[in-house]
Amino acid sequence: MNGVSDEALVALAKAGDRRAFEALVSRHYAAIHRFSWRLCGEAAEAEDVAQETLIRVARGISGFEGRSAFRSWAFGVAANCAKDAIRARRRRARTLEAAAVAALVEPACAVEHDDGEAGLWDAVRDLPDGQREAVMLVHVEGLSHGEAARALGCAEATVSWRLFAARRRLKSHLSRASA
Amino acid sequence: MTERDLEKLKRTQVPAPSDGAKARALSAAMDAFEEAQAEKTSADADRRLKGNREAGRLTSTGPIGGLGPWRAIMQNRIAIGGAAACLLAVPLTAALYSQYGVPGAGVEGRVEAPTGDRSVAQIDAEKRDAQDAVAPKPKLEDKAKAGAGLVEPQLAPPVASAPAESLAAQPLTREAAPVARGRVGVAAPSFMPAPPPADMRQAEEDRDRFAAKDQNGVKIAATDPVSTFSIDADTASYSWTRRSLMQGRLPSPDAVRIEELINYFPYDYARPERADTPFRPTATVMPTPWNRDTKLIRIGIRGFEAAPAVRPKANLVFLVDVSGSMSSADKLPLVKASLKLLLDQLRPDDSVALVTYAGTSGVAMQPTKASDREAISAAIDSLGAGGSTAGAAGIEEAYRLARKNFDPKGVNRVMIATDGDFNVGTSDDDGLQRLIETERQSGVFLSVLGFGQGNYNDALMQRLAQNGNGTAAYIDQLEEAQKVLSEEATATLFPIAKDVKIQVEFNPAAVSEYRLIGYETRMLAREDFRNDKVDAGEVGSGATVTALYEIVPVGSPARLTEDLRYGAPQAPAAPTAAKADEYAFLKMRYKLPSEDVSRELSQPIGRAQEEASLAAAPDDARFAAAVAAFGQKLKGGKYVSTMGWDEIAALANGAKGEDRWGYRAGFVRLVGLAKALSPR
Repeated sequence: MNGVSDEALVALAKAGDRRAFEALVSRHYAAIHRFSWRLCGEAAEAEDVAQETLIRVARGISGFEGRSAFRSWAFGVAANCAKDAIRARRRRARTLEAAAVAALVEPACAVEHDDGEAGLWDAVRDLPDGQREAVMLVHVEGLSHGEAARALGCAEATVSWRLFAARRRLKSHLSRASA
Repeated sequence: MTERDLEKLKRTQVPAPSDGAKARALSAAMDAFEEAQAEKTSADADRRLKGNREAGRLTSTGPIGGLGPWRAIMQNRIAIGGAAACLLAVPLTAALYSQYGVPGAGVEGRVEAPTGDRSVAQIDAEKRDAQDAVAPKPKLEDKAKAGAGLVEPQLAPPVASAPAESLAAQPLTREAAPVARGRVGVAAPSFMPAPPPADMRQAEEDRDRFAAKDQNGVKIAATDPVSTFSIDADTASYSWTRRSLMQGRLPSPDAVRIEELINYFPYDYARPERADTPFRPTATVMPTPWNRDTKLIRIGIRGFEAAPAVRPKANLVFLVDVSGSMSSADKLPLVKASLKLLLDQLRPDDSVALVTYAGTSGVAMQPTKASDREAISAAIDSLGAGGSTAGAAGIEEAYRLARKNFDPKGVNRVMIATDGDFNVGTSDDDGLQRLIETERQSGVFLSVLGFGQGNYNDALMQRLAQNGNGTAAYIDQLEEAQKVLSEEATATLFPIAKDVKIQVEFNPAAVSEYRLIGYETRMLAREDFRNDKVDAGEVGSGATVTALYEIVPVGSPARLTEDLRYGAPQAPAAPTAAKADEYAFLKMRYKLPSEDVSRELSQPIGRAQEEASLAAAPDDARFAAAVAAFGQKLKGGKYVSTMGWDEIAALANGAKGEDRWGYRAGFVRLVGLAKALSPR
């Protein structure tokens, strides 16, 4: 299946070919995991999100029309999964606030990066859902505004606007943090 | 905050997923996929039961105006949610099967029943539900939104009617299916636009995998006088080509390996007298049928034919792929019939074991003496197809049995019968190749018997056979099994030499250019010739192997390359009188099956072997030339443009010789088919 294009694999998978589907998700797992990790910032959760993404992709592939690249579409699905995961985490965090919140994050798995970057990431993950997704797809994964819009299911102008709003918000957030 | 500041985000290192995370995710995804497919399939079956009325409508809907309603469905579907989306795709598949009758391809999904075990996905879902039960319930719209996110989110749900919403809120499980089917199953067919897109049909049919390899190019004898390759006694490519043509399709050029076409046919070369010189090369030089200014050098070898009485004992392990993909009539049923043909060729004290592989691999029958034919026959009969393919585990198991029962004086051989569709376990081709290479050290030979089409993996089969002291044959019909496993059983089972390599040194005084026809996948480096570590092909008892070179004699107008401006002009370098008559010098190296040190044979090829005209050349040589022309034409005909299909057929027809089994007559018919199918 190496060398077969994503489009062909998608067509086969839609027709029920499990081998093609397996090749397809196997090919993109690393990217989906990376994307999930960046959204969650935490190893165990990222793996769960990546796995959930593959499951949803498996169930949804027959409805995928190929309006965007498969990978962009999968990112869109992953963004949804991450949204759910983060929401669930916040719920948990509220109930567990008294307990050690730190236990949720495994320090061993956390990646060390310089302070500016870590702060930026925290700020990005704190953005409202739409803005965070736009930043992730465009600035992190390098999709065009149009492609990101197709992945997220909104208008291109919406993506551009969300990016603008996100940058404004990040700026104020970071200047507050450093002050 | 500028865009550049955000560039930082891209550079952040992300730790790799933990061990097994990918495997877990993939297996969960496959379970979910299978479940979704099973849902689709049950809806499909429902529709079939309703009879032809709807099927008729499915196919009769014209292309005009087809897109509009389809769009409408697409949009409705979003509102209905993921489960219904799966069902809606069903008419498409149904149309595909009914209109194009695609056999094999895609059938897997229908054959494999959903597993009874709780899948990872299900367990996960339950875990999540439990979590949700503790935590406050998420709002309904959230789930609905998540569901819509699955399908193309770009189309915002336009018809958010109440029932649709409640459906979307359902988790995508089987329970949702009947409801959705009630709503959609009836409405969908009448909207169904006609055929699926052409590119998809194409993909359905051509999932057979072949490794691409360009034809060998022209070499200049003065600068590059040595040509080295491994012999190739495989025949798989011929039967594949035949099958394609019989079905009315020209084979893909990558599927045609000219040497395998030529070597499919037995030739009457001189026999060696004794087993310790296992073969004798026969060389002929004759005019090229497709170019009157060049010559063909034919090198033929014939393996020593062991008399049945002195034949070594055979320790065979049949490794049979019984995965779901093997269930069609041209696969497992043909495998069974073929293996029984082979049983008839065995002697009472030969031993046979049977290993199967599918989801799990297992020993279907411990090594059993061939005298107990009934037990073996019954074990073969009881094989049934189901599950996915764990090829690597099966191969390991088969080799383990072969080693356990190893007979140092006999022939120990694993015979794989498969469509090459290994998709579980060590499924990457490199991993399998390494496994085979390791097992080769144990002295066990390998035969690869390919079956079926639709997802035939020729590339992998070739790699296994080439790296595992083995040969590959493709069985497209019982007649072919008859040839490989019955008439040529001794050649298939009993090697008389292994790692057979050929090195030809051309005499620049007589030859200006040369080109090896075929053997593209078998080329070796010049230094590999004497290196006994480098694997090469084996020759079976009584088998014949042929190689053809097209040479341009010095002074011939057919020369394709020109002299270099800055190099010395190409001129005969005053050869010594004794060698002036030689075109080339042939060297062959081989090992006896039980030895690890190679031996060498050599002989000059010169005017002494030359035939002045094509008509004077032996039948075998002319026939091989015709097959070579045929193969080259199927590969694009770069060098044989002057020769038409009719000329090839005429040449072959006049060179049929005794043709005891009718193979050559069959070839002439194939040429006619190729002519009819090729674009004019």
